[in-house]
Amino acid sequence: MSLSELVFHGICIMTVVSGFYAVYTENLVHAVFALLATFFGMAGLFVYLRADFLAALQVLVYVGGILVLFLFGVMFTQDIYRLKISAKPINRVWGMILGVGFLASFFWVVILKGRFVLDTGVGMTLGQGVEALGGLLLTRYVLAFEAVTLLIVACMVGAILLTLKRE
Amino acid sequence: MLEQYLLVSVVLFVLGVFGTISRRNAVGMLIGIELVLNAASLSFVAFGRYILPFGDSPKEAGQVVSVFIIILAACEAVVALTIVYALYRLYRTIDVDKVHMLRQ
Repeated sequence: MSLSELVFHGICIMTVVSGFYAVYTENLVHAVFALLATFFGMAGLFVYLRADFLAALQVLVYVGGILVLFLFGVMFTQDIYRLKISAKPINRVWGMILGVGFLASFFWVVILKGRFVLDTGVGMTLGQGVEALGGLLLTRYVLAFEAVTLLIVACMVGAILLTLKRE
Repeated sequence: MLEQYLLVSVVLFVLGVFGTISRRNAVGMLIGIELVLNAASLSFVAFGRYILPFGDSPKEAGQVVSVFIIILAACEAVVALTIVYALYRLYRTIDVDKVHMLRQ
């Protein structure tokens, strides 16, 4: 097994294990930090998929923005010494049932029934996809791009309106 | 190779669904939702990388979808956390079983 494969498997294991910890721990601050490891692992997987722009975006938006927001949310809305999450057993049971069901169906569809025409991706190197990605965003998918910018403006206005103190 | 990415994606998706359902804390539920969105984004990129282009769809289409998913996830997190703050100001708790209205 080459070094690159070894690192790949390590990243996969780190992503899954920290994701498991993020949904299972009772301490929300720990959950957010576990989520940090998951997002970094996802960025690593994007690099392995030759999507280096997405890896950079992942680190910038998720780690730099969303995680800080989450940490702020956790620390702002909870007394730091009683961070217990009240998870009723019935919720856990329903979650387990649904999760195992999803997992089984995905395994069946993807692993057992999946017949994919694989592209070996020969000739793709790092740094080549960015130009094509930008070109696509401004030609073929320009309507979706503009719609998303409108959505961002709506989000900003909504967030400001919701937190505004009305007197 | 594709199967391995899909495996990671599926496991993250299931963990996210489990987290969203089992937690009653609003921020904890949001963590689960972020995991689900990340899993979807990973599987889009993996399919775009390993499956031959279909029809006249370009090779980077999977990455474009993933970019949009990241943007939408950021918007969703901002609005949802804003609602969480508003709820906290009103009820002093963010347990979703105890919260029913956004204003009194």
